[in-house]
Amino acid sequence: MIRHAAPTVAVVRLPGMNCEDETMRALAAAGLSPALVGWDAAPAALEGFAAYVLPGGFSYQDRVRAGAVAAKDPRLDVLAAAADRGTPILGICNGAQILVEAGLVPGGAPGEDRIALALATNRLPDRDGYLSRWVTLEARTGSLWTEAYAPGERVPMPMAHGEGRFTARDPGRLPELSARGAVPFAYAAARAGEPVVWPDNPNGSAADAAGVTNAAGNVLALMPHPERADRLLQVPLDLPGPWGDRRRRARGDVAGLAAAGPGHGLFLGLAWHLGVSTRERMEVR
Amino acid sequence: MTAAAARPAPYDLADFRDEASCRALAARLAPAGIRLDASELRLLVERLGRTPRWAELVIMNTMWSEHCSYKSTRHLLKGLPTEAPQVVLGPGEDAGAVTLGTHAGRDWLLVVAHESHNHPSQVVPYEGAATGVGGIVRDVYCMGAEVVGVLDALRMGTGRRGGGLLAREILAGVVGGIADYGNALGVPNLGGDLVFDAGFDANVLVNVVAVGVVEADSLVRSRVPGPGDYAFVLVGKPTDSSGFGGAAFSSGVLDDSTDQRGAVQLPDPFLKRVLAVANAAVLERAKAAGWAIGWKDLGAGGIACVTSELADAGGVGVDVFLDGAHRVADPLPPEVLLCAETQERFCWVVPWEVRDEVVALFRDRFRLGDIYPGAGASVVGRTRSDGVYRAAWHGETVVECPVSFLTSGVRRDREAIVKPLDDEAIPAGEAGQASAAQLAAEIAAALSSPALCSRAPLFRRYDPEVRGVTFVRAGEADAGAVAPVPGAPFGFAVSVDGNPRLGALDPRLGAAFAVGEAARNVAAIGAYPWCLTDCLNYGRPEDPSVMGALTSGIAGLAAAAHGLGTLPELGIDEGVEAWAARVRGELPPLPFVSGNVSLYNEDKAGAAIPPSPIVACFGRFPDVSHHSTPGFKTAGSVLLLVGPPRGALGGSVYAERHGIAGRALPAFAPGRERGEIALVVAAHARGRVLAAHDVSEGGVVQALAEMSFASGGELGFTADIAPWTVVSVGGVEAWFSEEPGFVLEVDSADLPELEAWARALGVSLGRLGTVDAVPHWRLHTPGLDVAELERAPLHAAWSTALVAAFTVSTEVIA
Repeated sequence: MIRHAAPTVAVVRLPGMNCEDETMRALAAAGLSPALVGWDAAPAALEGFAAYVLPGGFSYQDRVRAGAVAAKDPRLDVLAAAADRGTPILGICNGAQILVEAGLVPGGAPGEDRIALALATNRLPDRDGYLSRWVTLEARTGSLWTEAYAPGERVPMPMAHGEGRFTARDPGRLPELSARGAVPFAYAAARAGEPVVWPDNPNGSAADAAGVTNAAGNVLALMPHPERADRLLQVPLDLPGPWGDRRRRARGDVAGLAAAGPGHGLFLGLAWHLGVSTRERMEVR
Repeated sequence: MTAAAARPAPYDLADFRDEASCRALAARLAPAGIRLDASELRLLVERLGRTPRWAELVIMNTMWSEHCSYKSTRHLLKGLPTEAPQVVLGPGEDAGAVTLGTHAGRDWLLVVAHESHNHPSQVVPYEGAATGVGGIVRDVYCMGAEVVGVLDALRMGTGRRGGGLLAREILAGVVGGIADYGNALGVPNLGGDLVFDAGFDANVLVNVVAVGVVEADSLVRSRVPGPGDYAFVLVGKPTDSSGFGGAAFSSGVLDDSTDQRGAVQLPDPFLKRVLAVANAAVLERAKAAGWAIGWKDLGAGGIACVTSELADAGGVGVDVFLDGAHRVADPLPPEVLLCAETQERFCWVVPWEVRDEVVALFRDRFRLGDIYPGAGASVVGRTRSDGVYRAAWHGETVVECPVSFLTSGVRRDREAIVKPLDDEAIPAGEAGQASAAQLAAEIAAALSSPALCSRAPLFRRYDPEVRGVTFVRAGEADAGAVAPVPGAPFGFAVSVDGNPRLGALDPRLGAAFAVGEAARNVAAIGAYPWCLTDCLNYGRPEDPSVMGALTSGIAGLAAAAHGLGTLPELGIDEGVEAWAARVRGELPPLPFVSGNVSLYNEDKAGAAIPPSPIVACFGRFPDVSHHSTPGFKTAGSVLLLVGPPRGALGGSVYAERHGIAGRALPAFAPGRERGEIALVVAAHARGRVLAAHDVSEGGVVQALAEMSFASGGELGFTADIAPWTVVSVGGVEAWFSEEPGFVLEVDSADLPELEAWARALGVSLGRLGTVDAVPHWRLHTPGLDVAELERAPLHAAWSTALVAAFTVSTEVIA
């Protein structure tokens, strides 16, 4: 058997980010080789990676707006060039805000106004702003990021943000993006077929969008946190549904609780895309 | 332009000559924020042997404040047990440390700290609470640990009595400050509690707890490593005048005579996060290069406190160069540079020859100054071998004395009067409900009351799982839980508790219950209670009745900690009955490893808050897979109640809601508590617990309701309280009594075994009911028809009731 070195994925740490450790663990668990590249390294140090992840946190203190200052960091130029070459780039939570602020999502033709979306303040029934809770995502086919999931699979994971409501000047823009497959992850009711109401869509996001890609699909801005649902132990013990059932069945089994959680599929999809050959498949039920 | 000179002292030696002149001087200095009294001024001159310089007097004003010196309580705190085999570092430094587990040949420690930020939170709630979190995480960071969780215990007013800000404004500000700080720093919130009581209308309590982990050989001490040539490197935010006098401020009473907002520090979690990354790089470098180092955070007393304490702990002296400190552009006099409590600063002690490398790491590699205006690193001191503390500013000596002069404490022996308990003061009223319908109505009303409604609206503003190692989130169970070392089987649980209603009725019992409940909460999810921290929140120490309550409280804490003990771990092949014999024997105490005292919590009229010892218990999981949550898991399983017959309503939410004294207070029997906790922990370790919840505020019916609410399958229950009903009081009280205990959900096949274990541990265990497939509750009460309730509408009311506390007038809270 020929062993290839695992593809190396850069986890970009800008000042104020705080989710890099768990993001690196999730990448490693999918057979990838994560490398932390911080703001203490020159932007050129970001050249040449197989993929990039912008993790969550509060880069540059959310000055101006979440992601606004980070979007001007010279490192984003390196990422933009990589994005145009088709290199996979994942932004989680604050990382997603940066990708949207930098115009990498939804992207556009050169010369076109690439900054077409915003992540606005969460809209809740009784207040606006920050909310942490577990939500259910629908994984839609046709994206490298959902390759490891069954079509329409329900994927629970936590969200924790104040500005995560995908919105656009043109109210038709997100439904249009959704229709052409640029929303691989959408907020959903726990059971297929049921209407999506609050808190299924936890922030009022247009088209129930939880994650939006560029036209080529290689850049994903995802608000919820798959790295916090990467292992079964991270799933709440009283979560309803199949993933909760699996968690409850693993009581007393420390190895079983270290097995894959619902968020693992996203990192696995990336690994497959980068040619990591693994027999592992997300069990679908 | 003339060179600035240090402010001359506004006194001379003659002012210190006798008691009368010292009293006059104290009165003259008070408007300048000096709170030293006549006897302390006398002591100052006696110890120094000369007239103190102005900067020296300002420093001592801080160092001898209650906040820094514990002058009224330090000798009393010796009554708390602090030693047990798991203790690595007891009280004395910024945080305590206990063993946690060994994985892949590496030993890991749990590092814990607990303090108050009460006065700042009353004056500027958002900044006060945020800097409370900021301060407590620094205490854990500077032991070399990664911070993996924070908790907060909030005691809020009801708005019934006059005060400055409204209760809801303070609560909203406090919660916002905790949320914005912890979320941005990237430290998960693992829990906390919230109590509304009119006793906190003019003086809220915000207690904060932080917990971290560190490898045993990476634990950093807050001291100069020993004799030799070392540099003091100040890192972080530029020193400004914020928080100048903060320690003295928190040791005085809040009043309207002066605007005290300037004494509160300004929080900055972003800079703290950046510093955490850079500090980790220093630790890594020091470990690789074998540097001997020391590290301490700057809190109360600023540069003066941190440099003198680091030097004193290392048995050396220090030269402090104030001109070297990076600071804001405004000119700052030396006493402000020395004592300001600017947030987000640390002081490293590193070998003198590597000082430039350390400074460069912050300035050049992590570019602090580019990221945050004025932030950086600077060399502010150098050790000297003669034990002298000397601070120079603009070529002038502004402090020069033995280090020990600054750090040696002062003790105040206060008069303490333990007031007899007056449980006759309020007439006992009628408790019982006449019908099942009335019982059902009472349950519904209680569930949506401010005391008992869900805290989820609060917890949803906090990030519970950043770092990815949380496995029981705040609000999900009786305690939060973390598996902090990926790949290792061990973990910890933590809960913080304290019941001011009980504290007001019986200060000793209230303190014992704070320990008991915190320990029960970690046991309820399956962890072995492993260590404690405390914060003692009381009124003014000059009041003998306050000191009486404080003395009683410490006695209660000590009795409970000795009584519960540190349970031995149940061996993999050990029979539970054999283990029970070990549990019932002599055990080391459950140790207090860190803590804090907060005095002068009172209103303008001098009425003290209810005695409020607040206790955090940290539990240890040898194997995190043996944990539970309260949610009902399986229809048809059996509900057990661990605990004695239930009659006492004293101190309960029910008694408060109905304005009755409740006849009797619940008993705290340490032996019984130890046995009950042991049973619950052993049942978890042997995989016999489907769900568990402790019985505390709201009683048995509250525990059952919350277990049904938490159930992913929306399961209901049928329960019968008859076996726990005390003949003299009736069944209704048994549902609401806050006698301690646990409700367990277990498989019926496991009953005989569990009963045998309970017998071996001398614990009362009985069958309370069953878990039902339908979302419906049926309560059997002696003398009443069956009370029936539907889960869904109660769940909706319970889930959202707290929202009112943020958004509507305070009358609703009351």
